[in-house]
Amino acid sequence: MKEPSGVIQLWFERKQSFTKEIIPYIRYMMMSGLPVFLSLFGILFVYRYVNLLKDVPPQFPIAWIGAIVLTPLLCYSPLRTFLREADVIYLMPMEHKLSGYLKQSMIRSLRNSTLLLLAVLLVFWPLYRQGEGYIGIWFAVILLVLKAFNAYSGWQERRLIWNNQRLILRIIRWLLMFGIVLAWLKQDSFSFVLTIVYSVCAVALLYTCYRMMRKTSFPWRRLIDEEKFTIRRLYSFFNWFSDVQAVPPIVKKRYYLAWLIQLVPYRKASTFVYLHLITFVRTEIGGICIRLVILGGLVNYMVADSLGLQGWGAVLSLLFFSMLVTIQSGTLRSAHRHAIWKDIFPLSVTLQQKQLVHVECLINYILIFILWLPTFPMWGGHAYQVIVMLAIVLIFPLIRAMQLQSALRKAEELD
Amino acid sequence: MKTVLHVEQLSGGYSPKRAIIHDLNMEIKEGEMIGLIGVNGAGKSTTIKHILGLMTPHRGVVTINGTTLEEDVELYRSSYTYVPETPILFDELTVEEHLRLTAMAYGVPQEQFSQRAEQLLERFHMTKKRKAISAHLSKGMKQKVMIMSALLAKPSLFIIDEPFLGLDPLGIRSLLEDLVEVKQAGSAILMSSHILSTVEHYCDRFMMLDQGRIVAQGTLQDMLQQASQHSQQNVTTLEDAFYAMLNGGEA
Repeated sequence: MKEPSGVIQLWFERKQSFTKEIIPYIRYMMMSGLPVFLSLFGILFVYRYVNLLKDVPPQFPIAWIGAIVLTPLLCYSPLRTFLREADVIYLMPMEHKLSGYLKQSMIRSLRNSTLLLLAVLLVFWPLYRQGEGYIGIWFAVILLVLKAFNAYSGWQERRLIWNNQRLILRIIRWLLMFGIVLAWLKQDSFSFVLTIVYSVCAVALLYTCYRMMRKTSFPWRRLIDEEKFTIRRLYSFFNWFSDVQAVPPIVKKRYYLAWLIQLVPYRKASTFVYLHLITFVRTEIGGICIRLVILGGLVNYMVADSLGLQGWGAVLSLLFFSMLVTIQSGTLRSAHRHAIWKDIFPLSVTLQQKQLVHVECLINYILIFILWLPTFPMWGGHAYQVIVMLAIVLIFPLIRAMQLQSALRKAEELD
Repeated sequence: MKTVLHVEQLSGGYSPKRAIIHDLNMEIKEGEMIGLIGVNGAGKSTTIKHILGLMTPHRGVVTINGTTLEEDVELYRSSYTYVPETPILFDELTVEEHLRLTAMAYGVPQEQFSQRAEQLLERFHMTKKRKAISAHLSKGMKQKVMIMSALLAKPSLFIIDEPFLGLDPLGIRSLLEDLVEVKQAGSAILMSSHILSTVEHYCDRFMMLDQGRIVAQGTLQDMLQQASQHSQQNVTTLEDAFYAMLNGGEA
């Protein structure tokens, strides 16, 4: 049996093995257009932000924006443990010796999330200085203390036996933290003493709750599930850029999209439309697309509203997000690539391919149309730009469909 | 009676240079249930994969209802349904969606699907699980979904590989009752199983495979007779016959 130092060694070995595993995918990602786009997006953001700082409108809600941006970074406390299913058998007997292993995970996770919080705080700082907050650098110190408390809270919540308690406590924690950040940022509206009293009471309340509730000493199942979830999400992301090893999909019912599945007619010619649409709705393929559409929609709105590059900024933004969502929806084609039923069901390869192209094209039309909607501030003028955007909405899914058809044909020829 | 499955001189394997099954001949007629038996690695699953069309034979012909896979892929595949040894489900589909997907693929009319799905869900005690996502089902329940999907399509041939693995006693009984029913309705069944004490009561004929070759075949009486001759002992059960034929003549 491994000694505690061996356990720490095991943690480092697993971290190293994980890093080694993802390096090739990071390389593929770097070779894609994403870093260039992110740089361009960053430049655009800095340009807009500097302009804002030069002339902050009197009623600009600095405190509210600060609270909205900083609270998630303050509360979100991920924990990478690198634990695996088999550990339930092999590591569980030495659970009492795993504190060193867990400590490594906690330190690393806290360090990473704190660095991210500080980076965002640094960006926010010039705006904060123009707002109502008067405590200066002490605000950063308060955030760091709260961050440590949130990491502690995150761990205690993982240990809770009942999932409902965990969910309720997490919601309460996020709301209380939002209140604390807002109170410290709006120092002209709240008195200093009241803010301190509120902050201490909120933290004490949460601490008491954690102390009172029933907990497990080591939440094996939850940590393993969390680790699996993180890995799947990461690989789903890498899947945009290259063919990633098969990982079991994360399945979510997504009731709000269930109506889409009901629309598929009951007939043989729709069998694979039905299958792929369910796959899209319930797996991370659709999950990522939904998040991308929300993000892209927001960016498109901001760019269209500001009429960046005389409106061509919105065209470029729409084009970029259309590319991103179609790349993501394109991973649908490999979702059931190795499914035995493809070769058992009485459906010809041609029909199966036709149905896949059909469903992917339909999904792309819906996604790109939704991405286009938030550009409405431009619709009144800028006719050329609006026409180009409409062309993107209409033609882009067709181009992707033709590309898919050709890729499938080539793959079939190779088989 | 009409021949449903006809296998002639079938040889094949994963590598083109090395055959796992050798010169197999078999025929299954309407309303017949055939038990494919043999030790692990005898070639049962390989035989089944060749019949399904998942592997290309080195030699020989397989026809279902007189059609080969090469002649008409859709017609060939629509003539059988398959229950694999390990349940292979689409993780993101619910039980009900699995049944619907299979029914759509096999062109089962919608009214017939609704009625039949209800019956099967009830018979396999899965009504309460109809909305459950496959990824969250136990192994036994997954196996039930596979079996229900196969039964739903009502083809002329059922190919079933180790159907009892993971099933509870109620599930086994429901499956056997359903198999008898589909057999009486005229479908043919090819079933591979290690549960010899159960299959000996249900199968009409047996084929015993060893190292990719048929070493004994026929009705239960034929099998017992062959085993008795082989072992020079009085063999009374299929299990004993199995030991006698494959265990150096000792029953």
